[in-house]
Amino acid sequence: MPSAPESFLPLSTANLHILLALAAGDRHGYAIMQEVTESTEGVIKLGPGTLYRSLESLLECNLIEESATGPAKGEDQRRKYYRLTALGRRVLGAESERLTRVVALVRARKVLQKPAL
Amino acid sequence: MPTKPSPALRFYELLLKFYPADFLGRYENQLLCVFEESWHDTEALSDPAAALIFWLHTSEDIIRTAVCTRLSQLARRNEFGRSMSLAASILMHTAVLWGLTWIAFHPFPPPGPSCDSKAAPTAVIKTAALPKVVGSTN
Repeated sequence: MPSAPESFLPLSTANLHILLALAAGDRHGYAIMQEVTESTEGVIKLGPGTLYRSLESLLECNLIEESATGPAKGEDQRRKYYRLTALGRRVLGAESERLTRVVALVRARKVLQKPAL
Repeated sequence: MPTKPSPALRFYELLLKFYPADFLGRYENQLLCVFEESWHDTEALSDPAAALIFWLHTSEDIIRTAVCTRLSQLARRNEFGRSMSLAASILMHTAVLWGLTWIAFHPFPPPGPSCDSKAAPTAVIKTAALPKVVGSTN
């Protein structure tokens, strides 16, 4: 039974950034950690426990799945690659729209207006 | 011949024991793989502060998520009888976390006298000469 993407919102910070990392392509655990650190300029650093707990919840919700792409020759064979499912991509899109609306509201309320000197 | 695991890896394996067995069964290999790669990158920096931050971050992350995993498992099973063992588990985790924090932020003792064979005699000579200088001004 297909689930409505909106039923998964709002996403936690870790889940949002993991889905964003996987939107760029299949990745293994350490690559996801590195991608999140780089894309947030070090503001968000996922620990190993947070990463695998989040991956487990995303797997259970069918937002991601194990990729058929296995580790290449010379790579650590313990690595598992993950990828977004179609539902995961729709949820990421819905979350992005929600955040866009939040940013629009922030701008409309002039929250980020610089104070007069 | 299998290589002997490093002390860092053994300590990390010990931390992983905080997780429930079924979670560890599913993710232990990947957790070890991620640790080896990230610890390798941290070691390459040759920065003790970076290593300390790495261990604090990793330990806190594992203990916190292990407690959360156990709590959510308990909530799923809805077994009241396990609450006592959970309370003990939380106490143990808190004690470990408190201990790690104390070790990290406890001020180190001031450095002792230098062990440098040339510096030590100089310090002794200066101390010995001090009373004579003071006495000569009177």
